[in-house]
Amino acid sequence: MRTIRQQLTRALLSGFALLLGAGGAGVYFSTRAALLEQFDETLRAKANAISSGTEQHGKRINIEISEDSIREYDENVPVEFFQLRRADGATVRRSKSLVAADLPVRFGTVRRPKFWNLTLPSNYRGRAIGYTFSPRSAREEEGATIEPVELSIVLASDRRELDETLAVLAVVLLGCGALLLVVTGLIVPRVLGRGLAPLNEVAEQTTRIDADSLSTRFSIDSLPGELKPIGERLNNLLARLEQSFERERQFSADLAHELRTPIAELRSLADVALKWPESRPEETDRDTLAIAVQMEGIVVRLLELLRSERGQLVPVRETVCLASLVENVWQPFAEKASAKQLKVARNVPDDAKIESDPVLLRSIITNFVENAVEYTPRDGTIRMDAGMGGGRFTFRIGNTVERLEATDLPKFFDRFWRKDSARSGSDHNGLGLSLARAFSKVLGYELTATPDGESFLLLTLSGPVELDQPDRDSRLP
Amino acid sequence: MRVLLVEDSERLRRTVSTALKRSGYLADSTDDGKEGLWLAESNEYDVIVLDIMLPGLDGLSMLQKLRKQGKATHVLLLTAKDTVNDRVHGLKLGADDYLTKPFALEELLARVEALCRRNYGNKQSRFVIADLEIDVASKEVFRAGQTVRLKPREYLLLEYLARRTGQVVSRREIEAHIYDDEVDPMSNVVDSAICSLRKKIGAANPEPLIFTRHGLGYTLKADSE
Repeated sequence: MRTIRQQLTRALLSGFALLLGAGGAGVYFSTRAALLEQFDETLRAKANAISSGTEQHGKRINIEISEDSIREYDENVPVEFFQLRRADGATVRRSKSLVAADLPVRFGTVRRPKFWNLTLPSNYRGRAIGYTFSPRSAREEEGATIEPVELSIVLASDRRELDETLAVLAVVLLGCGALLLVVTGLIVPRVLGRGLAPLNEVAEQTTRIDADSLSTRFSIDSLPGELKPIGERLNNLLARLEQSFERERQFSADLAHELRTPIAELRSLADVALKWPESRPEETDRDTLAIAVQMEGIVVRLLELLRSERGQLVPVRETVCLASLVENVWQPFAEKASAKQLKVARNVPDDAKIESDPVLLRSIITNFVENAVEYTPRDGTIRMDAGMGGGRFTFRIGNTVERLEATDLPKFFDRFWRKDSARSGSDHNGLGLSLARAFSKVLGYELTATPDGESFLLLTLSGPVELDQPDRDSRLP
Repeated sequence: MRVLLVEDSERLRRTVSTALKRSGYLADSTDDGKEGLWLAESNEYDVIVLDIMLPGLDGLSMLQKLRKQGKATHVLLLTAKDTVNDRVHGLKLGADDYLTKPFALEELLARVEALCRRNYGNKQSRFVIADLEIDVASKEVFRAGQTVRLKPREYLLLEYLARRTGQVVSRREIEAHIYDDEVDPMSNVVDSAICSLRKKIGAANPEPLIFTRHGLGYTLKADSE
């Protein structure tokens, strides 16, 4: 697997090796050039010493030099050589170290002598200087005029010491370079490891996350600046995933819990009918149907709730007359309200018209009315009114309640919450207000439950008169 | 054996109550926690089958109140709450058993029967007193190897006496456990039932097994004991 650490290590080591190689080569060649220049200056000085000690006496050439100033011998091996020649090539003088051998003929001028490498008569590598010059005339000093001659000098010297110095330099440079590379190879991965540690921690923490540990969050404060945005995005993603998983889990748990009692009813009905068939109650079939309808109601409502929470409901925009809607919703409950002798007051203006989804809005108001009729005690009051203003509408429904406590209000819209813990005392499954709230959210409305005095509950639905374009993204789980 | 069923689901209450009665129990039932508490306080039940989520007073609160009053009646919690925490909580509050919905009726009846046996410190499902044998599971009675045919109420009376073999059982206890509240305290229904039972189990062997302790009650035991 390719890792950032490996790639960085490889790139850094390669770059460092290149820099080290270039630096070493620079040092080597500049030193070599300096040493050669120094060597050549020495050659020039020695050649100048010979040429300045050369005098012309008429047609005769005298050379006044001390052979000792020239290192002709290094132990038993001659290291320096010179040869003076006339213009016609005749040798005027040669060093003893040459014995009878000749040095190559190459030369420049005194100002710009010629330097070159050569193989010495001793078979070692050497370096030579050659130039032509006119020797000083002895008569000149006396004022006599003689015809000057032109001489050439070639002086060669053994360069083994120079080559050895350069070889040592090369070895030292290569050794140091290799050592530096090894040390760098050891240090770079560690430095990178330390530098990339936060990234590794994020990676390790990420690999540990599964469906059971979605509550994990990355510690943003401890992350370096480059990783902070990634950590924040991951935390947001985890939060949404956790929320989504929790919703699914809660849905399954709620569904299972709510279905337990009707299933138990169904099973015990069947058990009794099978065990004592002779005394099978007449109402068994009616009970079975009623249980099936109850279970169907729970499942259908839960699925509607889930769909709205997932943002799968897209509202339709139509003009809705609130007065007509409330009238239509109220009709089926009027008989039951009358039987309970409830006092009902409706004050919804005929001109209260809004743009909304008629199906979702009807479902919300039906839930309100159904709850009000079901839970208002005998001889209690139900009050409905609506108002418009400032581009918004408000629909309120209030009813008399018994034993309303402040702690009940936050739970009003929870799934399966009922004031009484008993779940089978009525056909209500505790999903109505949850569904109303979910539908309100889809429509962009606000739904609140507030007490009005000690024994009156007020549900208020409010929102814009004109339905906003639904923001689907905001409703995605 | 007398059982109280406190369950708010009307259908479940009806079917479980029918099953208990058909299995030979005297079953009272209610859908309200407060009424359930009142019944449990006012009567001698062998077992209370109790739902947790109840109107009026929830099952766990009712259980707590009973235990605080010193009522040791065996309680079987029957509920849709199925987590380990729910079970542990219920048992810690003093429940004797826990059954989650949905349940098999046979299992509920078996658990109620087991609690009834525990009620009298007797875990047997077969009683043998001299040559009288009572099979609690099949509700059959044998005397000297011959089947004794008893009416349901007579069988309940015999089983109740058998569970308390050797003990003196008062008329009031028999009325509380075997008969409904409608029984007139002044009536001689218990004496009549004992008389009938003596005749039926004495048919195969005249050796008496049910003895009268005047002013105290009755006892079932072998004569030699």
